[in-house]
Amino acid sequence: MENINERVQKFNTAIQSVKTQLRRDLVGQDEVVDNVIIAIVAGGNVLLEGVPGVGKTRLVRSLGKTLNLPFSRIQFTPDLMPSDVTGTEIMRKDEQGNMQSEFRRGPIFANLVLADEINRATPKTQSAMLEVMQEHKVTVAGNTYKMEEPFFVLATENPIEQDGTYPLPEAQMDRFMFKLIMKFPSDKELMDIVKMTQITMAETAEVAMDGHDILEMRELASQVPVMDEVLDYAVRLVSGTHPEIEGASDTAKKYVKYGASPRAAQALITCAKVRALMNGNFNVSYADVEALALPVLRHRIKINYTAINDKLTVDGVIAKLIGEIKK
Amino acid sequence: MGKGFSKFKRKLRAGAVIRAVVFGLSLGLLAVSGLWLTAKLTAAEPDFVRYSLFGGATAALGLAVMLLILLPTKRRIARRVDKHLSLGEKTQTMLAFRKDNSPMVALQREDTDRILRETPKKRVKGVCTWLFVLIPVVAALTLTATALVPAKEPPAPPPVVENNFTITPWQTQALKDLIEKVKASDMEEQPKEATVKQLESLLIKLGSIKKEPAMKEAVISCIEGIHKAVSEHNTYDTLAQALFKSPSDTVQDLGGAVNSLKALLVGEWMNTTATALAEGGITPAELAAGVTQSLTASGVDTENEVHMALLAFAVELAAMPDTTEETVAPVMAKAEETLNAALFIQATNEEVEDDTIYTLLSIFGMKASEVPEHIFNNPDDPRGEDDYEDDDDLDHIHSGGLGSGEMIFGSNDTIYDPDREAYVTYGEVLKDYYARITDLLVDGKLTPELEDALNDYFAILFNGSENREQENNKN
Repeated sequence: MENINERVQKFNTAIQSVKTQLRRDLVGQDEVVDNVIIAIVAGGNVLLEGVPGVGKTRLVRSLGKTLNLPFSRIQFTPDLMPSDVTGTEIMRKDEQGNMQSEFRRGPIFANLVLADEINRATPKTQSAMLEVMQEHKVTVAGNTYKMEEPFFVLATENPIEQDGTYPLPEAQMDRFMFKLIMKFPSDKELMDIVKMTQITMAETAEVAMDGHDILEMRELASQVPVMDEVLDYAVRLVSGTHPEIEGASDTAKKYVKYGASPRAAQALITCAKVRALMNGNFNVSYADVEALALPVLRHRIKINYTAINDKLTVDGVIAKLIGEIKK
Repeated sequence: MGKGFSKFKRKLRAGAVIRAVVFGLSLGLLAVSGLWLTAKLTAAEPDFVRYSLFGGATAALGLAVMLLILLPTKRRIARRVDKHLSLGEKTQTMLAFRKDNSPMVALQREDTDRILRETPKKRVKGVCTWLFVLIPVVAALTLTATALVPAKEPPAPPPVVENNFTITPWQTQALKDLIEKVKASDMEEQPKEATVKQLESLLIKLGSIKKEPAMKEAVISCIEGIHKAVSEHNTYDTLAQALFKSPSDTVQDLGGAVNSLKALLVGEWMNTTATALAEGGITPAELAAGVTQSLTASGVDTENEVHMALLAFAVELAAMPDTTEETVAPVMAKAEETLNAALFIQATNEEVEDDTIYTLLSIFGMKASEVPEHIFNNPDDPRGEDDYEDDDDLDHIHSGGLGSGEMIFGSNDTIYDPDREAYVTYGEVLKDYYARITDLLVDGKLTPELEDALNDYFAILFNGSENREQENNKN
């Protein structure tokens, strides 16, 4: 018991420390920061969406420094090849002058990978990310290379650029634990950003914990108990997004084209455990699940034309669904 | 589960019990109020014992049902605690994982219990407290209101319409004629005198009576006086009761025959007893002793004719030398004759009494049901009808009074005709009745079946009436 108390204490201290450090480089976006931390502790990938200049790249870079994790940034462009991401086999002469092939690792080989503007890459290149995001390994020329844990992909996409972008396939979207929207800062936040960046543009966040700590936190969070009723609520929330299922919610029947995958239910519970612990609770509550419903579901369901006609966004449909599903 | 949870569990369960009790009692009070109010509004007599029992039963049932609904399970308690204290399912999780001893779960359990222990009980409220305050208030107010509601008065009995009464000339004459009829009857002197006195007294009284109820009262009083005079004078019933008390069945049967005032039954008894004497079923001495003892026990005057007849019979029995037919038959025959003669006189007294009573009722338009029952009741036979051996005996009991056995059609008898204000023969009245019936027949106001029955009936009556008139004319 004493051991567990110490571990929980250490968990909370580390989380607070990470938040403190990130606030040194990022103004506002508190909810995004919290959710990114949750995803990282839970072991999931995050898709960040926001207009240029809201701090997506800065957040990931600061995060890399704070977590003391090797960080790499991949700028996705239409001409980016899969081998540019994963790495490639090259031929080189050894000391004896013999030609040997050598695998040169690509930028994906880091603990924290920023996939910037991932929707600009071709589907072929995007699919190269699939294996590494899900299984944390890369296969090149028949050889499999495992990623060092913890491994995360934080991808960004620009919502306003439509030309020259390739929408992410559903299978890849499903690999992201969260999709987070970084909103344009408020006037006060913008003022603070300007003031801060007048001093320096560089990230000033310091190390708060390391990869080993993250793995420990992940293991600790997995022990948080979830009672069956809350579990059932999460399951009904996900199955409620499917219009074809018997007993589907009215909102799903009316506005949803297709619903979320089972990974959504797994993500909900896994992340809810982390959130509970972060808030000083030792059990998952309905509030934890409800708070994570938007980030978990918004990229996993597709709304139909009726929703568009009724001027409903994905977030609006999800909010309606949450209102319909009884606890 | 922890002291913190137990604290709230005790509080919520105690609260449920209290609410159930309050509800049950309130329901009981409402039930009592309902019954009481109903009684008041329908002017019925309140029965508070029954109300209390019903109210108690209702209260018990209400308590049981409400307890079943309200008594919370641990899950419900946990849910309520989490809701009221905004604990985010801590208590429910603690309950769900109470058997799990992993470190994180144990930490969760301890943390939750600490919060519960530190939280005052009053922060978690019971179910609908306001409702369980309101219900008893409503019940109390209902009971109070019911107590204050005035009881409806039972409907006043309809006013007794007292018709006026003035004795008519023909009633006066009819009463006088009745007095004369009694005087001319074969009733014994003592009861006759008393009867005449009663009738004369009635005539005088009715001269001053102005209301019908008073008239009826006077007539009833007269009838009771006549009955008392005859009953006190007749001794057959007293002697019969004494004979009934004898241990001997034969003597008891003699009592039955005497009590019936029927010559037929007296004759039957004589025949049966003669056979019994001849066969040795009873000895003359035993029979004589039984009769004598009964006569002594009766207390009737020895000069009374029925007593004398029975005593003489007993003496004859005691003196019998043997029980041969030659000895027994004459004794029995003589006894039968003497006893019947004595009983006939007393039967005549009662016959005249009955005739007088019915005539009085007829004169003043009263019904037999207005006369006290005991006037028409015969003296009891304590043996009852079951003591008779066969139904033939019953037929004899019910087959009319002590008469000569002659069949009379009744045409000589007179009946008072109010239209003519005179006593006329039945045949005269019969013609009037037939005329009225004929009118109804002609008008088609009778059913065919009734028509046939009436035709047959009057045909028989007319034949009898005509036969009688012819006989009278011949005489």
